[in-house]
Amino acid sequence: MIKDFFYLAFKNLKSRGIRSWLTLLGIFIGVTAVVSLISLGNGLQMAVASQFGISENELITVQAGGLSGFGPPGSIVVDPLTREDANAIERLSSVKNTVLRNIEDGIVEYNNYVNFRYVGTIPENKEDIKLINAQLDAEPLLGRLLKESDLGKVVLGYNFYNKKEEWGDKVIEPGKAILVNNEKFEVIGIVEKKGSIIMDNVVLMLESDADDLFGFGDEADVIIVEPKNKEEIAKTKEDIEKLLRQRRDVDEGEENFEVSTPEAALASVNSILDGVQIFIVIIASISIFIGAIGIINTMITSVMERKKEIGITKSVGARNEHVFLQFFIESSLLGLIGGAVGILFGTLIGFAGIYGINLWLGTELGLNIDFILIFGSLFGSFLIGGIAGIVPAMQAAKQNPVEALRG
Amino acid sequence: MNYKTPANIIIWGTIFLKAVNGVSLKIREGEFVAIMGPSGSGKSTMMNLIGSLDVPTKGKIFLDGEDISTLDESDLAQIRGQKIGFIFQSFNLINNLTAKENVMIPMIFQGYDIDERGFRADELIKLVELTPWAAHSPGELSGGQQQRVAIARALANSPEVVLADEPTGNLDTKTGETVMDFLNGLNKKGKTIVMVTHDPDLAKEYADIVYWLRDGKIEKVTKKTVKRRIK
Amino acid sequence: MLSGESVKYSLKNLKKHKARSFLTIFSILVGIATIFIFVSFGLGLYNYIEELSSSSSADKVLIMPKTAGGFTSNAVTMNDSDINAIERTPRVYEATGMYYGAALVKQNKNQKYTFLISYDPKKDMILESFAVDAIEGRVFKPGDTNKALLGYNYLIPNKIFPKALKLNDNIEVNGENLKIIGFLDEIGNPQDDSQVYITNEQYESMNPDTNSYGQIFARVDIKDINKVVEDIEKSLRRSRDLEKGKEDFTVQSFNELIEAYSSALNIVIGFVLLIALISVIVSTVNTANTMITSVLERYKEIGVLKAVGARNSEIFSIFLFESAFLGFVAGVLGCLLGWTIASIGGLILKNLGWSFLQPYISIYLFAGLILFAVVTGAISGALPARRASKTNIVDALRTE
Repeated sequence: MIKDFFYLAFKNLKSRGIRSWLTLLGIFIGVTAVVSLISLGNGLQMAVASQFGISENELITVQAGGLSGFGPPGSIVVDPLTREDANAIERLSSVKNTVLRNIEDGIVEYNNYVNFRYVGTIPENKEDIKLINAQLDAEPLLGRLLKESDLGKVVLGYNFYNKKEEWGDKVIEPGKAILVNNEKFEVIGIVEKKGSIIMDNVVLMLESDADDLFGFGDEADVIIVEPKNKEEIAKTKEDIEKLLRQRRDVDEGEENFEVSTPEAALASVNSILDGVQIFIVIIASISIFIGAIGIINTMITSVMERKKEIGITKSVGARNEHVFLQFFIESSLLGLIGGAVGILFGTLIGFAGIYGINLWLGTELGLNIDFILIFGSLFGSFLIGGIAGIVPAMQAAKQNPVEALRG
Repeated sequence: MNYKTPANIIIWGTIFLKAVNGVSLKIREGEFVAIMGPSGSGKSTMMNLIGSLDVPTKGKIFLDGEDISTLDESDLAQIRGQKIGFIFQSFNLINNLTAKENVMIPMIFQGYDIDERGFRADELIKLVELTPWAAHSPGELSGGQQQRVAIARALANSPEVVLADEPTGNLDTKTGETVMDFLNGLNKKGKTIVMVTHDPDLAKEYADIVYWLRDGKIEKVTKKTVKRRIK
Repeated sequence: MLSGESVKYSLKNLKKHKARSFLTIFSILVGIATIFIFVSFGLGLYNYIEELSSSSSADKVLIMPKTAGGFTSNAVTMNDSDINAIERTPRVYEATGMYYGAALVKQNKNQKYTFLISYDPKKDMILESFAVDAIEGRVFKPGDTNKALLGYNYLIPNKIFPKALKLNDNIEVNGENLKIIGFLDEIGNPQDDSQVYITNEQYESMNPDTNSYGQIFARVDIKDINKVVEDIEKSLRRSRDLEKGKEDFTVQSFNELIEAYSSALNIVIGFVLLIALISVIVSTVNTANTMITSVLERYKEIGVLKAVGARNSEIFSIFLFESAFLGFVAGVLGCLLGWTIASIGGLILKNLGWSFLQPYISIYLFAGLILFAVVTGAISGALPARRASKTNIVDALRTE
């Protein structure tokens, strides 16, 4: 019986021509807006995540306390971390390996063009290099990565090679030399494109070279820690925290350092993005709400116009529930059809947006279809249509057949 | 559904609009009953009560031994669908459905599945001789054809009683005759028919019993002694 | 075009179909209210930025080291020799250096990381730029040692620390005990209002290894300020021995900087407005739907009107008026709703510490949006109205 109601509803909507279309249009626009915004929001989140370069490895990062967000780690800190801190951490039983990293502002010159770029350090022993390369997930596009003996040499991020317009249209590639803070360095490798603004513009050099240029001595901007057992990363984190509290003579709750897993950092950024996205989606939902009002309007009119028809169906045996269902389904169908088309367009717009993000940020996001979003929206549109139709459908069901037949 | 038991409809008491006062009538299975009266005589109200489209403000209606005057609208609808087939003066077909779909509608509410419905509808349409027009919508059919579709629809659930409210009211004489012939044919095969009309000749010609109504009261009751077709 | 009788007829019709009229009005209303809220906040923001760019900051120029991306840089140093070079530039009145860094502020067991800024009390320019003064106590005088000046939020309990701070309290900053000599007035955002200010001398004594200012402020001649900016660049290039195109510093007028922020905010507001506009479009669709239905319902009625002498143009005007009227009512109600929500929103934001984000309400906003609603209503009703006016009398009268 329900199937028949769907069929009847469909026929009815078709016969009402332009008014059905207009009602559908309302829901369609609203759903398109919401779906495209959610898709774009997801795309943006993926873009941000890609900037973080989360590798599969579960690594812990330790930073000194300060103001994050105003520069690379370690730029605005009160009490910097040191090499001794790193060594102490490495001696912990739950820790496999630690590596110090420093990130500094470098003045890079090539072909008489000057640009400011971040310089990241690479440690000078094999084990540590392996760890860093794993964390950075760096593969050489040209040439090779740094080895512990590569003093005086640098490996550059993809944009050094790709964006020759920043260097007077001359391409930087392995074999060429650049100046960093007025010291000459030989380029021996270019990293593949990572889609991350930081990684694609970074200069990698060995620690001692960097120390000569920047003089950070024993200070570390960030300490990367590899736990012995990936499953026990939480315990390792605790061990590190306990150790550092002791070394820096601070009490629990008064730490002047931060120990974090990469997921945690990403999670806090994501929560901000989520907040923004929710806000924008709420605004867009207003249009769906208005579209739903359109459905209510259409259905009320429909019930009024079809009074006689309701009388007829009741005279041939339709119970109140049947009449209710028929109109309820009609209204749900309006929502469903409008929503379906809206989802299609919204997803397409989302794709366009991701394409745009890729162009603008240089990321390499894939076009993925969020099935949960699609099914959720379909179900939601159906539901909204239904809810909008409840009152009109109830009105229809309550009609007295004699009155109704009188027209 | 019990074909064997006579359909007893007894009405008494004061009814809303005071259209029908102290009326009591019994309708037996297989009878062709006509309810005659000028406009305002309350015959439509009577029809609505008999057809359970309406309930009396006072009094009871028994259908098949069951008092239906206190049932709610939904239950009444169910009974209507099962036991009563309506034919209206203005045909009252649903315009955006085909003739066949119109005939199938009553069957939907009784839970027939789609194959059964289609089969029965085809049979009924054959019965009213409209097979080539089955896929047309009411707008494409003449008045007489529409009324025949209405008859087919009325028979969809094999009702015990067919109620016809001025069935020929909107038709020309010749078409009207065709329709009445159909109804007569149904009655010959055993269908109980109750017809409401303002045309005394029509009533006298086809009905076994005629209830003459005036100002809400039954004035007289006549029976046909000889069943004869008057040309 | 529209007689008093026609108006009465239209209004009666709208009243007859109360539910439908109400729903139509409601959908336009929501769209209008949304736009009202965002435009008023947008205008408010715009005004705030205009105020900032007022005379107290229009004559300031900022010289900062170039960075690879962050806020501070360890690669480039700026010191007194740079200040001298800048001051020697024509039409520069004076220049001063400022430090900034992170501060670990402690009150008993509670600690917080916040921004630390220092300036030279003899040449304050930053407080001047923000047009802000001490609301309690005073700002720095030359010769102040071991003193701190705090932002507004330190006065409020549980904003930064559970207990509010008072004048002459001691506060621990990066391990040093400083006496609070004043609290600044509210600037309007949580970050600025949580800042800690100290003197340049204080900063230098707490950070003896420091060799560079964080940035340099200069007060210059307002006239033709862009030329002054260029001249400063020239002076610095010379004093730092750099070629053009290889500067390791940036020079910008304060207002240029603000513009960068405002254009970013403009994009955000524009985007949200776009979304709100979508709501309005959907409302328009609803209104058109309503009007078409109305025309269909009154088909016979229109035929009768025409049969007794109504001209096409009159029929058209009647329907157009109805839809425009719906728009009008919706516009008024929408503005009122928007006004209420915007005002409440402003209060909430103020409480959260973002008092610079306030809605700007003006009579032009009301008038503009109401007009917009009327026009939207009229446009969506135009086609149906036209159809109505072209009704064929005979067909219409034949309708049951």
